[in-house]
Order: sequence, then structure tokens, then C-alpha cells
Amino acid sequence: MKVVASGSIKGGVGKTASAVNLAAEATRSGARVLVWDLDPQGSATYLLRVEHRLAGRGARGLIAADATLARHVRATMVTGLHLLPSDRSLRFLDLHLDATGDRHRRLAELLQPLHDAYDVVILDCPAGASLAFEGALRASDVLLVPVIPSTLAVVTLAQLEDLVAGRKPRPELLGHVSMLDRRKPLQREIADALLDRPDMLRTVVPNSTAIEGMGPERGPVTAFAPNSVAARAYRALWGELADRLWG
Amino acid sequence: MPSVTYGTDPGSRQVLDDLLHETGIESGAPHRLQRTRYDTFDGLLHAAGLRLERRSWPQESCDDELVLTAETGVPAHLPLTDPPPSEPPRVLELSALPAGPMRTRLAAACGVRVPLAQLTLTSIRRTGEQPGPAGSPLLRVHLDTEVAIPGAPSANRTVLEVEELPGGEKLARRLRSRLERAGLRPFAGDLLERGMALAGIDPKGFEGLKTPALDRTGPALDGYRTVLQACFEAMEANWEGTADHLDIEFLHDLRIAVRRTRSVLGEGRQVLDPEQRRHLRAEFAWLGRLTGPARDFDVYFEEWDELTGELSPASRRALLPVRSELALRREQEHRRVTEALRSERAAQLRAEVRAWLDRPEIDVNGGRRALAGLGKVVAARIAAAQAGVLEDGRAITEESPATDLHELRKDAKRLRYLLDSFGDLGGQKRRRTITRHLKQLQDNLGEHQDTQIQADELREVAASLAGHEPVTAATTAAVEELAQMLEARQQAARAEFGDRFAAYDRPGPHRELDKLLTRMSR
Repeated sequence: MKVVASGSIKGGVGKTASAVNLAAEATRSGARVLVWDLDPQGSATYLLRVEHRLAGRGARGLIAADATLARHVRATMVTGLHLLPSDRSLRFLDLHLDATGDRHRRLAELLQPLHDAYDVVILDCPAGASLAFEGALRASDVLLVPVIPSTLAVVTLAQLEDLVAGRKPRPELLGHVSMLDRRKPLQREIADALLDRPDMLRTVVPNSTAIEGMGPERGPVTAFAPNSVAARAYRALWGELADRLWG
Repeated sequence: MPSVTYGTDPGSRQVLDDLLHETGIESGAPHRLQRTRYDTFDGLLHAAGLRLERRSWPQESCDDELVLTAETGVPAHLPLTDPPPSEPPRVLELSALPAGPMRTRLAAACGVRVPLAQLTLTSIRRTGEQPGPAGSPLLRVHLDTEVAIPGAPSANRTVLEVEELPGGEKLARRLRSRLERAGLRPFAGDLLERGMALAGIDPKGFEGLKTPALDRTGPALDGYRTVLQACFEAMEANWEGTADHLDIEFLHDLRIAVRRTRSVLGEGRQVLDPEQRRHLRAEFAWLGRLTGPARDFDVYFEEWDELTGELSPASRRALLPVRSELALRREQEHRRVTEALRSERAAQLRAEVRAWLDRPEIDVNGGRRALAGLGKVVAARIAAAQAGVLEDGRAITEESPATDLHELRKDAKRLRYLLDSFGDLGGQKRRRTITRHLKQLQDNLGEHQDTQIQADELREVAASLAGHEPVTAATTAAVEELAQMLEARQQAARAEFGDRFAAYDRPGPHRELDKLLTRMSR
């Protein structure tokens, strides 16, 4: 089982869009996939049409000593793609994690029993450098960082590199250009510079109306606009990521 | 997630429709569905707890898909974007699948074997779902009608499958209980597994050459024929797969059966009819000789990465023309095998053996000792073979030529085949212990001889390619480097031989063999 955290300190960069669309593509490529929506907003939960509610005692029960994640898992509209939904109580997840014996390892421990049931787990992380994000880093093989072509996003990428450096185990940090508007010269220039970096995947996800359409359509772009530029980009992005994970 | 499948009769169709309606699960539009189950010839996927099927919708324009189901966890789906073939392919080429977890899981389970189509069934399928509050499904129900299973008696089958999804456990339980109250009974496995059972296909697949149960006090001729029958069945089972070169294990298993047959015929003096024996020995020797080079090349390719693993990347690249030449020769050898297995001579041999094995015992001529007790006859053979191993092995010194080790290898093989074929007459556990000791000696002798053959072959190939593009001095140097590595392994095997033989030639293993022979001869 490979664990990919879709995360960034910065908000609004396309983390959930990446998590949901890559999960759908992973499923289409023959993987058994679980998305864990760690964001109390529950955007991935909404997009995958699952109730925004955890069974039992919410976030506290989710990470309790006797907890099993499997009881919270739900099927989605995408055959073969499962979701561990979000819940409003996740806004207190850091407090609950802090109260556990090993706050950084708890998420990894919870994922361990699912090892044989899934090939890929994608963690949709909330923005910010929280305890939950630390736990997600600890549990992950790859930290996938969507980077919008702006100066501040590039600064964030450098901060994430610092955050990851020196960790044991250390997730591989991979960025990808997200929400590129090719009409803007500065964005093109920054994207080109980003693509020269070895830790960036080659596929660029454009700023696209299809991605905006995920909200009203409530599904991954591949489900309602399979031939759109955005759907093709996520397909290629998953191909690159799969090569890194299994190639 | 668990699925429960119910077989129904035409009369219960109304009950089903009512139940589906009442439970709010609206059945979807009907689609003609074709499902083909794949597994390796020896059932490796089944053994790994996996089930692989290809689903096609012949009347629709959607992609076929592969579905891989494990005992636990969600089934994995892989759409196949190539244009769907008119018939499900006989062989599923794993290398043609995209890199990813499905290919990785299948490759890990199948090894060198390829998944082959086992059964194709068709049905008209309707699927209904019960959605949860936010729209995602909690429960899925499939209703298959007009189910057609080749090789099974035709019947107007209707099958219902309740697929429990995460979060829908209560709903599924409720529906199952209603179905059972309405008189429907679940059966083990799903429709494909049911189809396999109805068509008489064992999911365990071919289990290798089996050692048949023998009667040590019965006539030797009957015992020999029983072993030859088992060998012949294994040969027949692997014949077509070898001729079509589906994967390398078919040829391997065919050769094991041929070698065992030759051994039993060889040890059948005074038991089998002399004329018949002479003729069959000649024919099976032909088959053995014919298939040997192809198998050697298969092994070469299987071990290539390991063999060249210690070379530098530049040397490995320089060896590419040699590898291509070996691949060409391998193809030629496999073509020769295919032609031979499909030849008139082979067909005649198979027909003769089949007729001889089918003949009632009373009509079969035997040799002078045909009616002697099997145990006594075979014990004498094993004792003679063991004496040969000990005599030749003890005579080997540090100065002995490699051919002496080769002769000893042949002695050991003779003993091994006898033990494999008849050794259980003296007790299976004891036979296994003796075989384990013998195998350690055989591995050493095999390493000694095979590394020399491989080194010679490499040099011969390099010499035959010399002067041709793209062979360069670097290629010649890499071949020599590899050949020397193989010779170093050969020398190491030679240096180890003394200890290996001493481990075999000691009172413990001898006592075990004596006890085995005593029990056999009782």
C-alpha cells in the first residue's frame, strides 16, 4: 500500500482537486483506492457524494486507542474508490492527536490494518502546518504538493522542503504545477522555472472550467468531462506518479 | 466487501422483482455481459486468494475491463482501452497492462506463468443500487438472467448477487434476510465460481506430476504402468501449452514427465515387454533430446538478470547483441519443439502409449519379472542405483576430470527418478528425507556442469557473432568477463563437492535408505 499526502501549507492551490482526481485515475488504472478526507471542510467528501459525518464519536473516536478506520469507510460513486469521510469534529483533530501517546505516529498506526485492502491511500490534508499534517507526513510515501505558479507558492514549496528534510522516515516531496493560466506571462515564466526542478512532476494542470465544474457536478472531472484538458492532465499526472510508485 | 449470491428458479422471479421494488432498489437497464475467468494453468491466482476476470459488454461500445478480486478488500477494476476482441483472448499478457498495482499484484502471484482463459459465461445483467443520503451507493444488487455456461447443462438460470458496500452493512443484512425468508438459498462463491463447478473445472488447476498410490505386493508390471499412466497424463496436460509456447512452465513440466517416463522405462528391464520397452525408450529419448535445448534457453533467459547482475552497466549493454542472438536461437528451438509436438511421429507415439495404457492388464505382455512383487523389484533397482552413486562418487578425487562428475550426476538422477516414482512404497516421510540429502548433492553437481555449459555457450555465440554489427570489442570482453564469472562459480562448486558428497555418503542417510528398502521389500 502506498500512501500519498496531497498537502501544502498554503490554501487554495488545488489539493482537494488533485486528491479526488488522482484517486479517480488511480482507480481507473486498476488500483484499490481510499481517500481519507482530513479536512474538516469536507470538500473531498462533498465531491465524492458521501455524508459529511463520521460514525460514532467523530474525530475523537476516529483516533481513539481502540479505533479501526474500516468502520468509517464508505463507497463512492466511483466503483472501486472508497472514502473515509470528513466531519466537522475534525477541526479538533489536533487536540485529540495531542492527547494520544504518539501524536505524530497515530495516523500511520491507524492506516496499518488497511495495508492489504488498498493499493493507494490518498490523504487530503487541510492547509497549514498542523499536527494532522505532521501525522500525514509521517504516514506517507509521497507528499504531493500542488504549486500554483506564483511567487508565494514557490516560497511555500521551499518551506515544505525544509519541513520534510531530515525526517525519518522521509516522504518523497513531489510538486506539480497547478491552476496554470497560460494567458499570463508571469505564470508561464514561473511554471517554466518550476518545471526545471527535479522534484516537480512534468504534467501541468491548467486552470480549467472543468475543474470548477467539480462542485456543481459533484464528482471527479474524469466522470463528467473525461475528454477535457483537465481530465487528460490528471490522467497524465497519475501516470507519472504511478511510474514513481511502481515503475 | 462480501457478496452473497443466490440461485433462483424461474418461479421465484416475481418474488425477486417484488423484493427489489419493496426494498427501494430499482433494477437498472439490462445489458448483455460476458465474463471470462483467468488463471494460470496451475491455479496460482486461486492459490493466492485472487480471482481475475475480464468483463465485456458485446452489444455496447464501452471498454472491456479486468476485475481483480481478493478475499478481502475492494475489487480492483482496470478498463482495457484497446478495441475489444471478438472473442476473449486465450492468454492475458501481463506485460501489456499498464504499470501499476494490478500488474504488480498479478505478476507477483503468477511469476513466469501467464493467466489463461478458463471459462466464459454470458448473462443478461441488471444492476440496481440503493443510494445513501448524499448520493453514493450503500448496496448494489446484480440480477443475472439467461445465464449460459459452456459445458454445463442448459437451464433457465437466474442468479441474484447482493454486493455489500462499506456503510451499507445493515441494509445488506436486511435484504439477505428477506431473500432467505422468501425461500432463496445462498450458494458458495459467485456466479463465475458456480459456473466453474458446473462446467467441471477445478480452480486449483494442474497440480503437477502426481506420485500415484502403489501396491508394493502387487505385480511389478501393474505398478510400472500406473506410474507411466501418471507421467503420460502430465505430459498430455502440458502438450498443447508447450506446442503453443504459452509460458515456459509448460515445457518444463512436459520435460519432467518425459524424463520420469524415460527413467521408468529404463528401469523396466524384465518387467516390461522388451520389444515395447525398446521402442518407447527410443521414442521418448527423441522427445527428451528435442526439448532439451529450448528448456536450456528458457533457463538462460530466466536467469539472465541475475547472471549479469554483477557486471557493470556498460558490460551489460555490451552483451545486448549476445542476448539478442540467444533470443533468436531460443525462438528457433521453440519452433522445432512446436513442429515436433505437432508431427505425425508425436501423434503416433501418443496414440500408441494411450492404447497401451488403456489395454486391460490381462492383455499386456510383460518381461520375466512382470508378476514379481513391485516393492522387491523396485528396491533392487534403487539399491543398484545407490551403489552406482557411491562407487562413482567415492572414486572422484581432486584430479578427476569434469566428466567424472557428469557421470555421477547421471547416477544421482537415476536414483532420484526411482525415488520420485516408487520411493513412497518405503514410506513418504523417509523418501522425502533421503531425497533432501540427495538433492543437495544434485544441486552441487548441477551447478558444476550447468555453469560450464553456459560459459561454453556464451563463448560460442560470441565467436559466431564476431565481425558482425553491432558486436564490438566491448561485447567480446563482456562475454569473457561473464564466462569467467561462470567458471569461478564452477570452481566453487567443485571445491565444495567433497563436503557435499561426504554429507551424503555417511551412516545417517545410508541407514534411512536401508530402512526404506527394507520396508519396500517386505
